Amino acid sequence: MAFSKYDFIDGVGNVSSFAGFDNFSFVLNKLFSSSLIGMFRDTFIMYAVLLFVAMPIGMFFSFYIYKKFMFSEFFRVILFLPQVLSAVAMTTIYKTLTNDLVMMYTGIDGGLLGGYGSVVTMITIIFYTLWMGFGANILLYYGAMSGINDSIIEACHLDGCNVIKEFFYVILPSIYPTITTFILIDIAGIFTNQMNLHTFYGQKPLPEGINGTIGYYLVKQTQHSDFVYLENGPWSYSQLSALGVLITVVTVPVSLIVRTLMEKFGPSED
Amino acid sequence: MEIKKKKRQFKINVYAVIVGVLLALYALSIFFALGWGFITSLKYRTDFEGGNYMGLPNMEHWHKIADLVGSLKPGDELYERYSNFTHLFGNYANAIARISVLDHAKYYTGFNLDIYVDRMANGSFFGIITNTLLYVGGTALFATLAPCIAGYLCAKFKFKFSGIVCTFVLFVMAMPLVGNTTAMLTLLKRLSLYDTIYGMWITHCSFANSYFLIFLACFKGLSNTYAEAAQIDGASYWKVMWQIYVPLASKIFSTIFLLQVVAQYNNYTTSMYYLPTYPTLSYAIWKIQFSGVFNSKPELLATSLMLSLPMLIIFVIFKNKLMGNISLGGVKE
Repeated sequence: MAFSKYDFIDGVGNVSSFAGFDNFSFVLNKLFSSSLIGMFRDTFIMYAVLLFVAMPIGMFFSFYIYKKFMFSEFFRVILFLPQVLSAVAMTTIYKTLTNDLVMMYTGIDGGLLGGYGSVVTMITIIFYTLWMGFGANILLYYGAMSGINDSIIEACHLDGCNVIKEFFYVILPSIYPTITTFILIDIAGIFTNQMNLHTFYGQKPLPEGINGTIGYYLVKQTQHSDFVYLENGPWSYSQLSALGVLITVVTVPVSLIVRTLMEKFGPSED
Repeated sequence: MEIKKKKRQFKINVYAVIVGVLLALYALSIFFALGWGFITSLKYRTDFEGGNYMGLPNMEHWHKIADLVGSLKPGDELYERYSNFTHLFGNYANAIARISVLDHAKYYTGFNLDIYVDRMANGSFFGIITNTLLYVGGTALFATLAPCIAGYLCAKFKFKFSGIVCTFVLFVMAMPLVGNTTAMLTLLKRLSLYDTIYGMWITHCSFANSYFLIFLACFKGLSNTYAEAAQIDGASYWKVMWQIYVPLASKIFSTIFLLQVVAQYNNYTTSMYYLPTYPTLSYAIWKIQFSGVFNSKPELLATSLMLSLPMLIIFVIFKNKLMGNISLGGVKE
């Protein structure tokens, strides 16, 4: 697909032919000449937040549930609830609260989703991603923690470990394979995750200063793309495939390197 | 010793208190968002826009509309416009009456991409509900059946190809494929499966996912003696699979099926990409957010919450099943 191009011929239909590296050169030209660089920036910012904020918070929450502290079962249900609720419904509520309600109280057009500059907009969107994103991860961390042998925890307590030490010296090393898997899954999805931007904005232009993520760009382009590329129109199927191939070529070795490094330098259960 | 014990207790409490407070705040935010959304969805437009952002619905606004509708005759323009708004759940009644998708899909299909199709969406409320039931029911069923069958075959028939299949699944799962939607669109159009519900059922017959590994582990854990006993009694391979092993894995099957139902029901992008003339409820409501059909926030919130209601009911009934601890060893309950 990435090496072909389509031409529409009356009475015949869409005819494909070999395009060589034309689609790749088209994509590379766009990559270095337009807002796509900004999109990579936004993608990495959002990914960094997921990795360094959402993941540790998720693990702390799971540990709380694992330790069966107060109301842990209730919190487990609440944390999973957003997973079941429609993202469309939750974005509508969130948008009304952060955009319309703030606008009505302050009179500033756009509310938190556009009225206070790009940084506030970005934080508002990232906060939503964090807010809605715990669900399944919490359950999987909890599942991994539940699999730890009780005798290890008892031994840790006999050695005088408190809860914090137990978390860092026993739980984290024990669930390290799960953490590695999550990081690898996140890397695999880094360029396909639209971070709810499409759900929030649809085909509307993003607020000033927000470039969107690569995943969002792919969704938006694919929605209106077709076999034949028209000047200044959405990218063609072949061009989008070429972009996909290029990103995959970058992501695969990154995944492998991260996996190797994590296995080499990660803690051992011993 | 006692001092040490007290110190430890204190540290435990600090951790529990900090994370507990954070979790309580999180729970509160979820309840607030849902509660506020629901209460606002019960307000009439003028009530909300008049400044009642946080309070309970002011019934006077509904009564006024009910009085107005009472003074009109069916068929009048004003009657048609306001007839749904005569009670507290007026926004919901209006949402059901007015949800529609009027898309016009134009595309080329067929092996040579030479068959031109220009079709209107089946986008009335009942059309959307039918599409949703067919899409969600079918895709969830096939997306559960495929890994179940593949997992069974690889677990119970040990030869080289089983190993190849397992390696293939692991490879696909680890491979960060980006931008394959366009290739799928092309394939579906060439096979004339694009814009068909059964086309979506077929594409969801995939076992290259983590559910395959769950079924594989489950079937590996079931003893072969059941099959041997049944075969001595004259059961065929087909019977052994469907009448012995699949029922034994029914707990995992139903859990994965429910997870698939939730995922497919909430997924609006599949309908957007692949089913332009068969809009599902999720896609229809996502689209309505931007179409201007409902221009007041209470109406939009009512429409959105209506979308969440079926999944909320499923969650309340099957909470333990949905949140069951799925692991490679099966479901721990």
